[in-house]
Amino acid sequence: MPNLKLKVTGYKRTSVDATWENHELNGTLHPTLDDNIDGFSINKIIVTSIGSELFIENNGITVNNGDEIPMVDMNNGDVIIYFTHVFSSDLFFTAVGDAKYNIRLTINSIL
Amino acid sequence: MGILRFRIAEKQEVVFSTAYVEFLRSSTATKNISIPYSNGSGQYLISGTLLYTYLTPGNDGYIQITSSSNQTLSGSGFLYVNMTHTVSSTQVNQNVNFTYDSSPIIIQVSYNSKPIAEDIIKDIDNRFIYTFINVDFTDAYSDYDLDSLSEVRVLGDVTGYELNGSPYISGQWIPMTDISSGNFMYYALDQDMYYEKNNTWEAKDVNGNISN
Repeated sequence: MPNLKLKVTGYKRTSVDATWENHELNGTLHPTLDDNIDGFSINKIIVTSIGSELFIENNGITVNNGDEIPMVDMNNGDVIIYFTHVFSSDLFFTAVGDAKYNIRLTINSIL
Repeated sequence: MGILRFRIAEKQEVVFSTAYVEFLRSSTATKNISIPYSNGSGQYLISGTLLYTYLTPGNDGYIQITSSSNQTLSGSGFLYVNMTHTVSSTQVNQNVNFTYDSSPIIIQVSYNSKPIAEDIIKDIDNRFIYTFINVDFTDAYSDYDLDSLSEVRVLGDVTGYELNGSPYISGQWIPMTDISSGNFMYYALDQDMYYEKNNTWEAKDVNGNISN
């Protein structure tokens, strides 16, 4: 008999506190992500929504909504998030591997 | 001298009308068939009397027709027979022709196939109510005779499924009209962790044939 399988995406919220430099409302962040979530191996992320105050590069190339970033790039420090004039902004992406997780990364600037 | 004369009455032949039966392809089955007749003149059959056979048991196309009971053909009525038939996956409609008591009998045999249902795998978000749509099932359905999908059902632990606003009962047939109306839903759990909801499903075509 054929299967009916629903694969229900997990969801994770994570927050990163970024330090302003020179008391200016801008800065950079090198995000990292554990390549194992709840026991499921993750091999890439797919960016789904970038806050308007954020700008992302991977190895110097602009990352847009829908772009994929391999986990190896994330954890090699190749990904940079630039933020300007932001107290708090969100980056949504989907982590894909043995399971799928929707992740909300909130960047909170602190003095 | 007197004349001794024998007057031989003309034999009254029973007249049979065409009978109809349908078999499933890729199966062996025995069906009871009622063959209309008229002009019966007392012909008697014993239960199990072999009336027709073609090929040998186990071979695609095999047919055996026997009298299904002790019966006498008088006036008008029905000749009751059992037809055992092994059908291939591609058998086309045919007429089975044979005779009884020199009278021809025709059984028109038509064929249908069970529909084929395949795996359905869907990605949905947690804390999300997923409403099933027709293509969720029709994309995983096919039928040799191009019969359309009439109903579906889900089996196993169906916790989280709802039909028409009430908890769905495992094995309950769902008309495709309910799917079209958005009445079949799954309520994803309120949890962060990824999980899989595993069930099996079956399809029924418009002729009532149920999938693998």
